[in-house]
Amino acid sequence: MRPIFSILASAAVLLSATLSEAKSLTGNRVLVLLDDLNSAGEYSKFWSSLEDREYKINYSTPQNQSDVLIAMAKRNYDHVVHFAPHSKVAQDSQFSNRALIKFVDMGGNLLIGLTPNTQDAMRDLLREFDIELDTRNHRVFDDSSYDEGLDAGAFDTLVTENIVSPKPIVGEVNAPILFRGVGHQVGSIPLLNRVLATEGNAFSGEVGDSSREKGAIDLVSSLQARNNARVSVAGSLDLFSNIFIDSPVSRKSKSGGVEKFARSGNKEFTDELSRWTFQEKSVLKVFDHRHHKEGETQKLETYRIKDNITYTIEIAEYDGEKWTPYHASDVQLEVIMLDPYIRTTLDEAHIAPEHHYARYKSHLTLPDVYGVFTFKVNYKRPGLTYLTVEDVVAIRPFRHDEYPRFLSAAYPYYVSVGSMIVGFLVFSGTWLFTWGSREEAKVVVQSKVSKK
Amino acid sequence: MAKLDASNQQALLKTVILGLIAGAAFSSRLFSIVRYESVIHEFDPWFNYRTTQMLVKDGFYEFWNWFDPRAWYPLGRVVGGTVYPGLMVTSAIIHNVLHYLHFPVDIRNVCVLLAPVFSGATAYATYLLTCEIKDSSAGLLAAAFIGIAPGYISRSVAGSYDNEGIAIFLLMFTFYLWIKALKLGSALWAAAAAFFYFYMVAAWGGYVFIINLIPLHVLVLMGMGRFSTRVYVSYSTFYILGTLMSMQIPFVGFQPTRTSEHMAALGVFGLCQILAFVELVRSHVQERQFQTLLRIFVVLIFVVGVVGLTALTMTGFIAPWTGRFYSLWDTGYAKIHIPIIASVSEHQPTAWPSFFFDLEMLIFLFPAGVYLCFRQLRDEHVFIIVYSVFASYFAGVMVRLMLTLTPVVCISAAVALSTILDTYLDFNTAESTTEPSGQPSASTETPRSKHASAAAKAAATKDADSTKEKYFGILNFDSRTIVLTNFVIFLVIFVWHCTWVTSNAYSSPSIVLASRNPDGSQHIIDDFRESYNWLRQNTKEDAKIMSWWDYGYQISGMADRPTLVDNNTWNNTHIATVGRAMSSNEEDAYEIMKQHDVDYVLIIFGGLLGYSGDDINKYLWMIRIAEGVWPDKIKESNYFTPTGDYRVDDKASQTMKDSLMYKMSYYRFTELFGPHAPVDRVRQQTLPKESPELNVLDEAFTSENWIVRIYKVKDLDNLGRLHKDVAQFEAGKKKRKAQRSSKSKARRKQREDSD
Repeated sequence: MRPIFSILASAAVLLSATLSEAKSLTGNRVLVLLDDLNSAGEYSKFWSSLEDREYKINYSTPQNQSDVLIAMAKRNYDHVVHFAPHSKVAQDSQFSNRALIKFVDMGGNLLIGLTPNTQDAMRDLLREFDIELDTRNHRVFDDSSYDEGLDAGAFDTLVTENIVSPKPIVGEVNAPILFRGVGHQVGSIPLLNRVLATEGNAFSGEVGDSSREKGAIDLVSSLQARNNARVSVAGSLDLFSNIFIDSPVSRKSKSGGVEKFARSGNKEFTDELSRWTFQEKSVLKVFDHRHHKEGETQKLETYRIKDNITYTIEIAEYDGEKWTPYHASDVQLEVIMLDPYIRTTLDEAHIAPEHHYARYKSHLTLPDVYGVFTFKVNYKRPGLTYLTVEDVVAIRPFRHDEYPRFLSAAYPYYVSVGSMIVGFLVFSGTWLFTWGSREEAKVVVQSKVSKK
Repeated sequence: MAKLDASNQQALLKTVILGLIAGAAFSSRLFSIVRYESVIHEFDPWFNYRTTQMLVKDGFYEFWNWFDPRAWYPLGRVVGGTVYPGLMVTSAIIHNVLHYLHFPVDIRNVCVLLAPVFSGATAYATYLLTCEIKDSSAGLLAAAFIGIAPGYISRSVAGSYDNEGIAIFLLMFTFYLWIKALKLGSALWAAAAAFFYFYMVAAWGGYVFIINLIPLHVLVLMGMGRFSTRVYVSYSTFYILGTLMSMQIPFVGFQPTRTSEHMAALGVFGLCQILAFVELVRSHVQERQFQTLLRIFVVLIFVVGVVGLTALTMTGFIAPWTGRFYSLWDTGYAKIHIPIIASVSEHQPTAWPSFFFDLEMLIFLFPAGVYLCFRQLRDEHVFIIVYSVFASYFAGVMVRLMLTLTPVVCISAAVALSTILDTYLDFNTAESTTEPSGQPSASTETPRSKHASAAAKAAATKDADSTKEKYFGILNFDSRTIVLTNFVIFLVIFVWHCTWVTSNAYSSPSIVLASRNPDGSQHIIDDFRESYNWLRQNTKEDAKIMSWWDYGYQISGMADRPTLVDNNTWNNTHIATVGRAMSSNEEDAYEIMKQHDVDYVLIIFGGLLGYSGDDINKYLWMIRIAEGVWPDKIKESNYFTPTGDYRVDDKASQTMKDSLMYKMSYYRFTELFGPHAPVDRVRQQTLPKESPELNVLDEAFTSENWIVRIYKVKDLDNLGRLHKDVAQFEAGKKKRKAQRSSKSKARRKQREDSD
């Protein structure tokens, strides 16, 4: 049958074998696109954090056509950091939207930084991810939560602690995050996750414009494509800059005083975000899955209705260094033929601690319906690798010799058959021995005929 | 050479003639092999062939318990329990016997040649039956007729490996044994008839014909006051043994006791017992008492019977008549209530020319033969009369039942023709005419006009019943010559016609088409096999193929891929689902296809070649069947133009143009025509210049003459976009900002549906 591992999982195994030193499961080749190569220094702390994690970084601009993203139907890079929102890109360029989408479709990861002055091409690209960037030159303001040190009086250097992302993407950050840039709105497709949003009173608009409606505005969002390639979009380039990373934070607290932090949470946040985006964490893998009849070990393609079977799946999580057991209580198995006939939660089984995966198990009785069923573990949680494991099995009806025999309900029929046989023998015997000879019988018949 | 006496000569002649007839029957069915090749034809035979292969390979018990997960995905089909296994078992036995005797015959050739071989056997069975009706000369004629009658050939050419191929033989042989049993009042012959009835049940759903016809015969005999111990013994034996044996076929199971189709047989069986019991009582009590008893008894039985039957039907213990059966009484019934039955061309009422086409002169001789049966009216003649009436009606209702009419037409026609030949070829009448006769018929001696001889014949037939001595032969040489020459010409033309029909109409395998090049040479169009081979070689082994059900058996037989629906139309809803996918717009269709794990869609398109049996022509049935299940989603009227025409050109309705089937059929069709206007050669309509857009499917394969087109179903988009948006993005068209909100809603919907 057809075991569908997540594409990533198998790709990951291959790549981690060839590029053993990389922490990312996709690979360690990073391409950084900048509007101006000279500006690379502004983000040097971020780069060095990446280099510490054993990435090899190439710097380039979207105009530089000698750097090729995809060649011979293979990715030349594993990750792209797109910090060039102001560059105009031709449709047939190496870094056109189509090329970038293709790069993602081929499993490459993408980290995008933006400014309020982002070019239309980039806006179109974001639309493909169902992210709508705010109107050009609009930026996010918050006059109740801004950094007093960095802000130049426009209230656009936000301080926010509103991390709305699911745990697997960015967990807790100890200090508030500094942000200066453009806000966006995410669409409703479930592949998208909001990561960072403004706090209560922010609004978006042009400089000096304060009549806009207020509300939480999305600042950073992430998307995990169906092939598990990851895309993160940050509305601010400054978020990654050395200035913001090193800066202390001070803002008015709600009580009226001033909150102070020695250092912003930007380093922690950008590290976590890039680790997630580059597949260093929250990556799951199915090590094995199998099913067999209770008391047997062989995996069958055909079961019988009402068979008792055991389904086992082994799942591991990558923590940046090695595979570790993945613990969860919500892994479910579905037995589907058009509709799920059985949906059951798999229980984590106890296994020896030296294993680097967790084992989930379920004992189930197959439905009393024959057909082609799919055993499906469809584990899709925000921020985690999508796991889809399918086994197609046929469930057949009883064979002619598998039906129960000698039911008590059938005894009357056995008796009737027996009595019939006995009756027939008795009748024949009586007939043969008591009705006399053939001649006599003939006479009787003849006399009857003559009567008529 | 030693001289044989007359009877031996006759026997030798008969044997030789029968052998020749069987040879003729066999060889006239080989046109399809000579013209094309030794292949399995059409649709159902592919399933039979596939199951036979399985039976030969894995043995009987595996076949018996076969659950086929590759048909009717994802429901699967319990083949062992939903099949009439007679045909497959027969071929497997022949195959195994041949192999035991070290004839290494391929199972395919056994299957291809099974029907022609059995047609020889049918000729023999018909001979036996007609011998019982009249005599062996009529028998030989009947055998010759059935051997080459197109009505039977249409279902039994080489390669047409279908149940009917052996069923007609079994039908004839069962009837022969029944007549024999009835004549002799023999339990042995009746048991033999029951056994062949069992074989028939195993082989063809048309066994219902036997189990209604024989009770009807018995009933008519009872009505004629001919009930006797012969009838009692033969029918009781036949019914009990036949029913018990037929219940051993899993597909039939308990139907003989529970469905209305079988109730007539049960009722007549009960009536037999009652009549026999009445006879018994009559022989033991006095006349007056008997009259009273009888009256009470009859009323009682009637009331109990009717109440019981009604109660059982109402409570659902006896299944009501099936739709297929209703459509036998009301030809419009199926069209309204069960489009899936009406959509099959062979379930349509018969057009009158096809009677002539399939039976030629036999159809004229048929009433004469029935009339002659009335003249004699022994039990077996009653049978032929009942059979004629019954089969004539049903042949008029359904084209397919022409098959059951053909044998009785052959028998009756043979009786009529042999009576004519007997009359006109009787050279021994000279003596009989010398005897004094009561009629003023000196005309027999003197040369007279044809008119006179006809009058004499009429007179002769009028009195034939009263005394045999009053028989007048035809001695006039002219009248003999004229009549005989006429009939010889008729017979020659009949043979000619049969051969022509067989070679032109009934020998096409329909999986291979032939056309003529301008120079007259044959051009073979092999698109079907080309495409099925493509599927077999280029797709995953478990790729699910969606197509209209007509092609299901061929796909599983030739391409060996799982199918959603096939020609075993047991699940109307599943077929309607496919119909709905074909007739919906792309988004709805995609949803259905994803739910059913469809990998490829296969359609038949005849627009380029002018092949009229294509899917666009069948499309209305898909729509109707889908509408029967989802009246709120699919509306037939939406597919017509406002004026009520069924069009595919630019006047076609928007629903039609948006439907998946339309798009798949005409996708990129315009490209073939360059600057010219594209023309659909089946519908004779000019198409719009732009090819329809197709977003959720990729064209995977189109056969040489565009008859078969295969599309691959796209995966869900990696970024969760709609396929339409993806196509626009790839084409470099920018998205509008204003569309955003509605689009993301649509996206959300798609996403929710797919996960």
